Amino acid sequence: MRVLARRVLHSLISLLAVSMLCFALLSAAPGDYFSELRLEPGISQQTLRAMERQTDPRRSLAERYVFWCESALRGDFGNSLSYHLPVASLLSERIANTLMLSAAGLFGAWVLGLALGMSEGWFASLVRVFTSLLWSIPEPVLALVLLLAALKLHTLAPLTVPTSEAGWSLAHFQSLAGQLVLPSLAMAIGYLPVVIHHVQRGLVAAREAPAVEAARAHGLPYRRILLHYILPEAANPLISLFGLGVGSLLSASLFVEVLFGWPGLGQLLLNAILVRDTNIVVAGVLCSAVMLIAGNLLADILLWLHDPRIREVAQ
Amino acid sequence: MKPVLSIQELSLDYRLSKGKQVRVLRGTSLAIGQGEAVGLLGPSGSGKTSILRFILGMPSPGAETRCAALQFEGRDLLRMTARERHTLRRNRMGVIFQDPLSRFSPFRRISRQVQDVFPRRYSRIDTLRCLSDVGLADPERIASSYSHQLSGGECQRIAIAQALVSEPSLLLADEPSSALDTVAQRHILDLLIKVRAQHGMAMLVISHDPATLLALVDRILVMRDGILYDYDPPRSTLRGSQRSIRSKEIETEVPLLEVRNLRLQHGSSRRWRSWLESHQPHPALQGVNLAVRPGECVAVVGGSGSGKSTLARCIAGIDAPQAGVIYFAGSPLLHTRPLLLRAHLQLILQDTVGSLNPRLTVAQILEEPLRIHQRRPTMSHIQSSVQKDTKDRINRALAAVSLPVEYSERCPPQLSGGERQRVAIARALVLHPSLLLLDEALTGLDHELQQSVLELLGALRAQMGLTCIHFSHDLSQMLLVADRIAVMDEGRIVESHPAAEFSRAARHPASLRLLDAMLAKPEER
Amino acid sequence: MDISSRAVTSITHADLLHINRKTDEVEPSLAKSWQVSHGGQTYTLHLRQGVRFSDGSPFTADDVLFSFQVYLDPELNAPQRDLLIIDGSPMRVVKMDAYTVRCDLPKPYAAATRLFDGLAMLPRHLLEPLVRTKALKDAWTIGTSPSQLAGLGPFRLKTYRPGQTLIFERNPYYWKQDSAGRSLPYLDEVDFAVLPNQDAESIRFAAGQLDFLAGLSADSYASLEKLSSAQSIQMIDGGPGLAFDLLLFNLNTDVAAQPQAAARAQKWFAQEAFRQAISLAINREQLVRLVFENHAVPLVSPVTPASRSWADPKLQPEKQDLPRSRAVLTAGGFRWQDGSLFDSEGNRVQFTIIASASNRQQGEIATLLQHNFSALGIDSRIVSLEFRSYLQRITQSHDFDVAVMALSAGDSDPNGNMGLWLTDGALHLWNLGEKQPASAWESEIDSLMRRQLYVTDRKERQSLYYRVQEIYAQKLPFLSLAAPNMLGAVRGGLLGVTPSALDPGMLDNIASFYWKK
Repeated sequence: MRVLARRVLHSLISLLAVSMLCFALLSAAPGDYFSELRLEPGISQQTLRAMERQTDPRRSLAERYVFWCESALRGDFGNSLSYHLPVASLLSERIANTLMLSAAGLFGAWVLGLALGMSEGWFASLVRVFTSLLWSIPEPVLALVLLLAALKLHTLAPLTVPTSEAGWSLAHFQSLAGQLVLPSLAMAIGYLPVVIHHVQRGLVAAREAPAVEAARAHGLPYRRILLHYILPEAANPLISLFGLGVGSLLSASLFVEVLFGWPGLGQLLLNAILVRDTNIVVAGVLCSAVMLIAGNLLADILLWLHDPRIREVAQ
Repeated sequence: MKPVLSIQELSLDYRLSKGKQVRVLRGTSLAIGQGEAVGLLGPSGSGKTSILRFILGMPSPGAETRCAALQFEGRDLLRMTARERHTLRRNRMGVIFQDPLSRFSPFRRISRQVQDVFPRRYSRIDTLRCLSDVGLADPERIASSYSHQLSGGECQRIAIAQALVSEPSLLLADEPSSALDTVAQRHILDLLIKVRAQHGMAMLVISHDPATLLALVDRILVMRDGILYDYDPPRSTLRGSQRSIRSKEIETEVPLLEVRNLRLQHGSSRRWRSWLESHQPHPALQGVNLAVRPGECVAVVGGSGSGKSTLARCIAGIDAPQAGVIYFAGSPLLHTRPLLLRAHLQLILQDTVGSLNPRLTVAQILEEPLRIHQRRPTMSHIQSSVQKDTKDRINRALAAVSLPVEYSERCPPQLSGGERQRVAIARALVLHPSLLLLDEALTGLDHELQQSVLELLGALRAQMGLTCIHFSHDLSQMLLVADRIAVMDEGRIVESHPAAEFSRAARHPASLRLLDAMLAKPEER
Repeated sequence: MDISSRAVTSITHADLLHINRKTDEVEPSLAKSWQVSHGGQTYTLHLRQGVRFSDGSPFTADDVLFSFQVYLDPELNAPQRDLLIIDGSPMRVVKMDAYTVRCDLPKPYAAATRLFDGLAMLPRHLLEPLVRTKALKDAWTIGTSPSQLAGLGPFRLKTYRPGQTLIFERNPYYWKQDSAGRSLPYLDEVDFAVLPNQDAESIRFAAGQLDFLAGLSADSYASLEKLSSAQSIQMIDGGPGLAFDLLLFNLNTDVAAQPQAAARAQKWFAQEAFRQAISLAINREQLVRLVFENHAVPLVSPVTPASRSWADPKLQPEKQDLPRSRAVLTAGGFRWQDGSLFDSEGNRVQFTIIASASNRQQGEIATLLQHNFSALGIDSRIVSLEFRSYLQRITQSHDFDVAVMALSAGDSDPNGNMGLWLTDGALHLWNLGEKQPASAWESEIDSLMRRQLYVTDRKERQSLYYRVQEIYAQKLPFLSLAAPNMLGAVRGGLLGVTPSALDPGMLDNIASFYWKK
């Protein structure tokens, strides 16, 4: 219980710090949302000033922050200047899209990474070569190659993400899956070398662990050694890595989103930063931070479930 | 009688870096008859474990073995596939390893791990019975525990139970008792003797400790120069030289080190911080008083959790006490200490794997403290060494711990545990400290090596009045080494007597417990 | 394409009068005819009868009155408000009968009919309650449920997913018919996709997922042109639009705590001769060729060819003329030493060109200019800035030497450039926020521009505006470089797309887009 309370306190402090930092950095950045309107012919400066006043009458940064905190506690994250919509509704849709993309990517990377990383013998060497090859190619290049290949093969999926408004029929699901394939593949490939590397390294170390050697010396069936001795031994760092992966679900996909035109959170945030749409930026960054914290928490829970030693310390 | 196991013309090489090879065994032979127990005696790093692994069919990495014939129960093991060897291990051979705690997976309950060893059908009753057969009083609790919840002795009993499940014709035991405390050691040896009497299997026991082997086996083979010889147990003990050193009385009244009312309690100060961090505290100190005269050798003896290590860490300046003063040569020591003082006060730990940088060669490891301390030319102690050739000092330090000069180019991973411990001692000695703290520093060493290190320390004490404080659980050993024994229990020094009178003078229950454990050991020393 | 809310307005709404993008003349729209009286001070508009909003409710003079009330409400701060305030007082709109309204101007206004273009007529029955509760700004946005939105445009919004897609469906009540009497629009549904950048747009277009791209940059145009033969893509080059690229000198006088180098640079920029020499050193043809791949025209003044009869025909873009440029500089007291230019006080001439990092073409322009300037021995440095901080420097802190910029006139009519020309205009960028004209020629431009506002005779207005352009060409407060062409791409078979310089560009006649059978 104390551990949990401590974690929650830590999380709250870091969230507070993140939101403060966001606010401070954004207000330190030159220009504001209305900068661009200054170049519009036909809008007078009085009108512009009036518009500024209307959207944000509390000028001082501290006051604005306090006001923001108050309304955020009530669940109101303000309105977006560029979309004229409540930030909450805007973000929830984008977060769903991004989660869909990165969860598929993460899942793919882990399934492939575990399968490839657990291979042995000459195939493992092949995987190692393949991994370093993938690792040496920058992710943007990989994604771009993928995109161009799809273009060449005329397999580029259409770009509208179907909504649940239209009902969740099989056809919808198929079309959604079709659109997800390419961008999530790009994400998975980018993440794959990390997973393979950690799986391979963890298994190599685990195979030499004294307990595993003892199991071999007792002549246990190979499958049992793998499942009950080697894998649990190798699991701890992998669980932490997985937690990190879950934590970065909202923030890892920016590049792929921009490249594939996937309407996710990353793209929204990027645009919001460029046009200084403060409310979106702060709320979006906070969501990422919450995700990160949740990912770490998930890893801790999994570790707690997996490792009896950790259970004991926690009690 | 047909031997259970016979090895012919076994030679063993270790591959070192840069294509170098070290020959450990050069064509030696071994045969174990049915029901016979054979001991293999040799110093650490002599390749004992490699032989065992070769018999198991799980060769050590980096070891190259050649063998004319290897037969087990009349079958040629060399012609078997890895899978067949695996099955053989399952059905016909039993193994017990040195460090029982790490040989169990921390993620799997003991009951499961014992069940894993059963060939086919098993039931919980079987598991519990086989646990109670090895003298575990509460098999239900043990079976539902994880390995980290058990003691080393319990784990070793379980390991023995596992090895016996398949009714092996050969039991291989690699240092079965050396990582345990003295009480557990005795129990395990008794158990092995009992088990052998019950099951009548052949045994191959490996140890650096002749006493262990003498208690267990019918015949001892000793490894020397790559060949196995029959061992002739020495009836003379190694006490003479020790006695002579201890008899040298050094009469100085001002203590070199004095500890007054030292207290360290975790969690009381910086409460919010400990709340946030929740680390595992070391055992606390509840007001320790201790004085050590120059040239004296004091042993602080106590069971685990008594606070020995915490005291050593406080004196060495690693932990900061919350109350109390440490006087060194009459002046109080602060927690942050000048470099000069740190050279005077050296701590040697048991865990040499962690304390030696695996990437550096032995020469570099020894050079490092010299380099650090040479930057301060004002130090009187070190000043003379500045002019001297560093290499010369390193070689002398190596010679002092009887390591050949060639070792200076090796790295810690290429050394055996005993050799690493010697390097650690050499590193402490290279600065000519006036006070040496040894925290279980002799525990991992084999008998001969312990002896040579003790002789070395004795010589250093005689030459330059080196003062030693041993922190150890092993009373019997400390009685041989130290001038005075201080018994520590629950964060206090409960009593302190000269070593010669200790067994008569000791009154405190903690001291009596230690004496009991010691007396229970086989009387071979 | 990135669809601004203004483009959405033009698709879903209609105006009273509409400028024909081909002829640049005002034509009837929701008003079927109009009369001018009182010497150009009163406009009487006769509305079409039987027109219905996209939700089926009828459109009457009350809606017109209501719309003007919204646009003129000082608390709502509609951007349209500034257009409707003439000489300090607002236009007054009076209902004559259910289908007739009268607009009273405080003064005869030259381009009064053009004001009505793009002024969307709003549905009073939906919005009036919102205006009463002051909730209009928050409640009636593009995010409002489509059933709550109604307009008079050819399409109505079906689905809106912010930053992703906008789907419009045919407005069954649309009032316009084609010459054959068929109801417009032809298309049943139009989907707009929001994509992060033009590369993504081009890729999706090439993949066949988009049928129409407007506002293409020259390099996207070139890359799509390569595909056009294989994929039956029709490329559209609508000629120069109202946008233009310029080089802005920092002539602001209010720069606080200037470092010495900046003060020196400003001293050079303040010299007419220096600005002229710089203009002569610029190779505008090369710029058009290299940066815009010939899809642009070199400019002499901010009045682009899209303004048709308003551009002064006497002014022709200057060719690069380095000897003349050097001569001008020499006359201004500058001299050369080892190929580098020094001013009369012996200072090396060097300055920094800022450009927006988000605009690839601005960077390319800056590089070419740097190259041209080095031919004069001028040492210039290019700094790419993030768009907002770049704007901040130009419009607020005035902390820059020269800037490469892109601007657009609001209208082909001279009134569309008021903000640029007037001393206190919002786009008077070379000396922003000055209260009094800094020089005689600036006050002359001010008075000429103010006069042309109220001159109803087109010829006279033309001559006034020509005069403004001539003063500009002589004094060169900033340098006009080029006007990029309006570029687009259409999938083969989609017909009816025509270029247009005014908002909303090629979408203006979206009602007449159709697929070839």
